[in-house]
Amino acid sequence: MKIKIKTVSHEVEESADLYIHEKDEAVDRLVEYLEQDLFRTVTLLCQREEKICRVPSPEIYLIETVNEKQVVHTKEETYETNRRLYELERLLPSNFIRISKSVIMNIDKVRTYTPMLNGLMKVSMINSQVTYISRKYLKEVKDRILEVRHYE
Amino acid sequence: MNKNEGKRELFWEILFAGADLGMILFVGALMGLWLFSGRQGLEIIMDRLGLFFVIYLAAGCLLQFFKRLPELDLSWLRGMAFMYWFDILLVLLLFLAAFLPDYLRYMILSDAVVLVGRWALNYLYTKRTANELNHAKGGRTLVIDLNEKPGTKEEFFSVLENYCIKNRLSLEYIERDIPAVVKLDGVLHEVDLRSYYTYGGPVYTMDITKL
Repeated sequence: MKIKIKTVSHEVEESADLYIHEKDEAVDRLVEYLEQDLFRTVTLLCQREEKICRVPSPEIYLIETVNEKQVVHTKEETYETNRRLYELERLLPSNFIRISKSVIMNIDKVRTYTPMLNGLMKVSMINSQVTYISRKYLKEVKDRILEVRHYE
Repeated sequence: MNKNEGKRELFWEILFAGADLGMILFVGALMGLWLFSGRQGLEIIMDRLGLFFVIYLAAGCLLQFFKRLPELDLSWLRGMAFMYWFDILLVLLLFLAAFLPDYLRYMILSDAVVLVGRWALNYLYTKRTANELNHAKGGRTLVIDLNEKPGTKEEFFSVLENYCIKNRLSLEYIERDIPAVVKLDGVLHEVDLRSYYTYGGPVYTMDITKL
C-alpha cells in the first residue's frame, strides 16, 4: 500500500483517508488501530515472578532503577525489565519524561506537583505513589510537560 | 549505568556543586566581614586566606552532600525530621557563637544570610514551577483539613457527604473506597485521605481531585 503523509498545523484535527479495494476485517483492525491512537502506545515486555508479561505504556505510572534493575510500576503491580533507562526513555511515547537519574514517569498519571524545602519537586501519582523531580532535571521537565500539554 | 558508575557520577556532581557553593559562601563571608568590621576584619584572616578557602570548599561539598540525602533515601533526614535537625543545629550554633571570635561570627552570619537567600530563591522557583505544572495538568485538587483522622471508611464518607450537603453538591459514588471515585454535580472526581506533618504532629486532609 502506498502511503502519503501530509503535515497539518496543530489547530487542525489529525485524520487519515484510506483508499482500499475492499473493506474487510483487516481494514477494520487498521481503522481501530488508527482511531484509538494505538500506534502511539508501546508495549513493554516485562518479567514478574519469572513470568513474561506484556505491559502497555498507558498502564505504566513510573519506571525506576532499583539495584541496577528497572522496576516498572503500574496502578497496583510492579514488573521488571532488562532494558536500560535511556533505552526506555527513547522507546516510550512523549508523555514519559525522565525526572531524575533513576526515574521516568508518565505525566498523565500525576495527581499533583508539590515544591519541597530541599529544592526537590514532589510528584504524587494518582495511585498515591510518590516520586521526586531532581533540581537538575526540573527546568527540562517543566519545558517538556508544558510542550506536551500545548500540543494536546 | 551500574552502581559504581552512579556513585562516581554522584561524587563528581557533589564535588562541582560543592565547590561552586563553597566559593559563593567564601565571597559572601569576605563581603560580610568587610561590611561589619571594615578593612581591619579582612586583615585578621589575610594570613589564613588559603586555609579558609579550603574550609569553605569542604563546607560547600558537605552541604551539597546533605542536600542530596533524600535521593540516597535516608528517612531520618527527610521532611519534619530535617526541620528538627535544623532546629537542634541552630540552638547549638547559637550556643557556640558565644565562644567564637567576632570575625568568625560575622563570617558565619553572612553565610547564613547567603544560604537563606539562595534557598528562598530556589524555593520560590520550585513553587512557581509547581503552580505552572498543576495548572497545565488541568485537574485541580481541593485540600480540606480534617480535625482528626477518620477511624473507618464510613466516617471518611460521612465527612465527604457533609461537605457536599454544605456546598449543595450532588454526590454519586462510582467506587466506594479510599481513594473513592465519585461524581460531584455530574463531574468525575477522586477523593483521597492524605496527611502531612507539622510541628504539632500529623494533619489529615481530604483531597478532592477533578479527573
